[in-house]
Amino acid sequence: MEFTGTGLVVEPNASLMPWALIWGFSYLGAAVLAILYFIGVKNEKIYGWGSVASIALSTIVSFMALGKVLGGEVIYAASSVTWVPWINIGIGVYLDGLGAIMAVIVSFLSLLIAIYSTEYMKGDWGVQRYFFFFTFFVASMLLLVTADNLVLMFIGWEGTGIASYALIGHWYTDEEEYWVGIPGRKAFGTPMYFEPSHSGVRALMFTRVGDVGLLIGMAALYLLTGTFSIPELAADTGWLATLASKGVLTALLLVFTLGALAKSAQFPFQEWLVTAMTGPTPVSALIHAATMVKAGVYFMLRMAPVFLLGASLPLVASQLQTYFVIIAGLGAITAFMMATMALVSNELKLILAYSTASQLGYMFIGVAAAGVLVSHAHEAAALGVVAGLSHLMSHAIFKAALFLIAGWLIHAAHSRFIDYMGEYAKYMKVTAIAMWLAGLSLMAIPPLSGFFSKELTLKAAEEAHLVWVYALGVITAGLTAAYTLRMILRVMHLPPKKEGHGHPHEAPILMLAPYTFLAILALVMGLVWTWVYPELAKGISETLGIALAVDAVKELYQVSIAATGTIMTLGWVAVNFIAVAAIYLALKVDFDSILEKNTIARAIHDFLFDRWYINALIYIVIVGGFAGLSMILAGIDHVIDLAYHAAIPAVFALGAAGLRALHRGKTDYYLMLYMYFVSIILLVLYIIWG
Amino acid sequence: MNDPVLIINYAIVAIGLIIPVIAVYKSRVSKLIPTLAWLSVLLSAIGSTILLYNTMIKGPIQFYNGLLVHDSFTAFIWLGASLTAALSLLAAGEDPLIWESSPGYYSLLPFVLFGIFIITGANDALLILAAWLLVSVISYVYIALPPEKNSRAAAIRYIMIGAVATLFLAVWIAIDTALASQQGLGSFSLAPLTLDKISGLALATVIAALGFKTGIAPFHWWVPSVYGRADGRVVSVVAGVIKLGFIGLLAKITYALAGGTVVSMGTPILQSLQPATTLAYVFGILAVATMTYGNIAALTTKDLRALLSYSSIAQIGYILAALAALAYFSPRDSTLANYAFAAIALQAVAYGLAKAPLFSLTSVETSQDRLRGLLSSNKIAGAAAGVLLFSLLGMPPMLGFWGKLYMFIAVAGFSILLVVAAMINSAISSAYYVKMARDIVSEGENETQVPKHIEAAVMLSAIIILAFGFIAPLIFSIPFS
Repeated sequence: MEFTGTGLVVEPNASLMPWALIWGFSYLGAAVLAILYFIGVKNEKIYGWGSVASIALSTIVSFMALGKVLGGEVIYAASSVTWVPWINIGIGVYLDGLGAIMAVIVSFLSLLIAIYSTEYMKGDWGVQRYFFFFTFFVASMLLLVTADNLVLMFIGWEGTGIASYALIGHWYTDEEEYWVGIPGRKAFGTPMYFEPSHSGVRALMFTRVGDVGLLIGMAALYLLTGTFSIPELAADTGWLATLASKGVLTALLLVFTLGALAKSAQFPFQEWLVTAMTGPTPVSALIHAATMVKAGVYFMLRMAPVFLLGASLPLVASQLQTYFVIIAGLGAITAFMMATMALVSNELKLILAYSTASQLGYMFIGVAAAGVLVSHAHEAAALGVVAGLSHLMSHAIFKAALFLIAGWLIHAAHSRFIDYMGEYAKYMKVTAIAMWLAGLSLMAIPPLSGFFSKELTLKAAEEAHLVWVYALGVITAGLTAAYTLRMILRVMHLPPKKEGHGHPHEAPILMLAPYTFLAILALVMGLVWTWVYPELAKGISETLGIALAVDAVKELYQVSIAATGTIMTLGWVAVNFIAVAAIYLALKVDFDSILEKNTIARAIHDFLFDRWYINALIYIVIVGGFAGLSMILAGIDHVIDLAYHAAIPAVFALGAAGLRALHRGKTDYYLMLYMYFVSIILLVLYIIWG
Repeated sequence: MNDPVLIINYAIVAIGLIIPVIAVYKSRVSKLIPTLAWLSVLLSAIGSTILLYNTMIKGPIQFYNGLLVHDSFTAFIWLGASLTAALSLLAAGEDPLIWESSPGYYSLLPFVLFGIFIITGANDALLILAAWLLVSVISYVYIALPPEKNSRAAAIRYIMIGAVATLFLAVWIAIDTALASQQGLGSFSLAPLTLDKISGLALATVIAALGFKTGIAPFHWWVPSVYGRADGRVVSVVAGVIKLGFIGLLAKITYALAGGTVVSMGTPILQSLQPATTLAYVFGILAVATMTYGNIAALTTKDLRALLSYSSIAQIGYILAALAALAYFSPRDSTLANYAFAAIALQAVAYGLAKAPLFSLTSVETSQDRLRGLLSSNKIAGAAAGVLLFSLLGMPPMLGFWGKLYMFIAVAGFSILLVVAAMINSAISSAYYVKMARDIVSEGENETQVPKHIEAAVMLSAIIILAFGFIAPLIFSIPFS
């Protein structure tokens, strides 16, 4: 088993069509919707079903590509015309195991969520704008995951950012029902509630920091290699050695990865994802759970084989290891931190948002473990890469299901707070079953897909001897079971805490069908995992340039329920599961009363509820600092403005009066002045020429 | 082959001279006046396109026995200025006809375009001074044209500091002449810096002069007062069109000071690469100061005009970063120097095309929150203004993105610290650009009524920026030189 790069295809082997239609159909759809919007077409069905149709076409082409790729082919389709000849940027589609699977995940989930949206957004005042940005987002995301070069990928990357910004702020009129957080709540004087328009700005700003880092990384790579082409970068890894010899490899890679960390809401960029929940729930399902937040993980997966190939040199390997340990650490911190926040949250979408960032942390752990492993155990490194991709796939499915369910539940409760929800299983049995299936998958309970994929990431961390990363991963697995069970019990089975105005009933078919299908898919994927997955993983590995023997693959990717690590994790998950069940069902603990009476419990609760006070810290130190500096500069400008208006005229007036005073009309006086200044000039000249 | 370009320029000058005559003998509010101004802009666009094509095919082209040398970089700047002038003219509509100063706005525009042709191509210090005076005086007059107190007050400030800046330019020309003679170059040739102390003085004076014109910190103090106070329709010309000419000149002088010109001629008379390195570091420091000042000052201001003024300073900061790379690589690496040229050209033109209509938009009404609710009151203007803001932010695939990409490529080869500073600044700038975009989509209490001609200018600008974003990279398959 070795990293040969043999699966990489460096030269184009197909024409751009039809593969560019993967994103082309959706861009075309978005363009048509934009034109309709500007010419004043109002019919919302045209927008909804127009969006569905264009995404459906993209989905068909994506499946066609996956079929070819699973048959062992890598599709590298490029245009015969180079877009930017000077720096050799073309328009191309690169569909290997990773690209094709991502294209299918993105397009297929988008299709289901678009269908759901036609019902969910019915009658919304901004439905036309919604479907335009939705379709534009899907197109950009598809461009991102299929681009053959970094510039094209960046264009897709930024397109998703703009669409996400617009969709988070979709209800920009900022009515309270669309906020995130409890109105009026503050931490250290910083508001902890966010309006949609504010949240959109936050999302764009947080991710922008990372995006510029990515742009800089791209520029630096181009300088070193003379190419933006992803396959070419993978084929020639000499640039890693160049950077390593200068001792800057770790630093540059971290800058390069800033975009991925920000996009995937990893510490310290996690804040934007939390408040992004002001957007319509299908947007949260699509962008902030299933696809865009995965872009960072995709980027890591896409670049991982490049790093793995370059790691044969000791100098490169040691600096790469430092880099991957940092990434794994950030992933573990994010996973743990966000899970603790989810434990106390009382907003349904917020619980899921915390959970998303937390699960993304696992994916980063998986990919980073591959990087750590490559330097001392080549045979295991592929595990990390495939583990990251596995968890990406399974999470996309069960989390999209959970968000879509949340959308219906919030609609039914007329509230985003779970305090107003309860005993919904009585009224919506299918939804309850779907929520249990998706929830169990999130809890990593066998035989659901989430169990296998999470175990793989933990196995990779264990193999890499990332002890504390592994420990945090296991602890977080237990916390995940705890917050997920709490959420399901409170929403579906326990009576509501507060009386609301909800009318719980089963969702209409266009909403019910997509999330039920996804929940069942999470189960089916788990049931067939043992048989199907090793073959799939082998195919994916090969197209990523990682050559593996069949037996090794089976051994490597098999998740054994009897393994010590697995038993330990499952045991810890079971403890949490039973504890939460006991607390809510048997002991019926009254947390409100505990928080009221116990100061320490309240302090811990507030710390977690206010997101470890990180948001407050960012606002006070960073935002406040820049705002203060800005006001100082504005003050300086004001002083200068005053100088123009008051000081300079005053000085000139004084000067003019003084000079006029010198003119006394006496010749001897003038002569005296003349001689006086001649003496001064002579003195100055004497000093200079000395 | 050169003749059509010169003939077009003569025609442009002729139009500038005819307009006042028409105003006297026909009427100062004759509709013919704006039509002629449009004709001059059209001619300028055609001339610059021909020049760009020819320089891309054949390389640099000389006029007047080498007094004027144009290449694809200067031709692109001229083309950008012509398109920006078209946007300013479109946004102004026929409003300036009813000003007391009519037909000044229209008659001076041809001279601006002619001046930019000369100033960007000037290969001789005295010619630079002549073109400088022509364009500078016009820019002072422009600011004073609108019939209101603020514009005139702004013009007085502009003239006062401008006069001092011109004196600094004159001092530089004197020193340059001495340096050129010392190095055996022609009398008024643009001489590279040397290790002599006098070179330091030359550098200080030329930076003081051009720093004023382009708004480089710490010579930028006038910018918020002038751009922020004067009528947006004239600021649009000064900040959009005229500034492009000075940016082109700054790049050309930087290339010469760093020794790029003499190295490219194959005459190895450079004593040392140290002056180029020093120049690069000076520009690097000024770039950080300028972009940081502009971005941070823009963060909390609520006045749109002030915000656009500060962001103009920040944009010059990014261009300075590319100039630093240009200075460093001019005598060392022609490929990287060309990337720097591309960065300057694309960034500058993207800046001009976006800022001209945005400044014009500020003239719409007196409210400070001018963009608030723009989308709901005017879909086209709102969406188009959003495109302009995202281009300034460097979002792909708009024109501004390519400027940033080339800038990072060029600068990454020179200084990683400068790259990091640009990265942080770019992130800071997103705060106010995104906030402006948020204002556009938010519901305005007082709906902004955008006149048709300004709406058209904003829309046209967005189309050009998007189209250039797709087409410009394809067109510029040959390096700037």
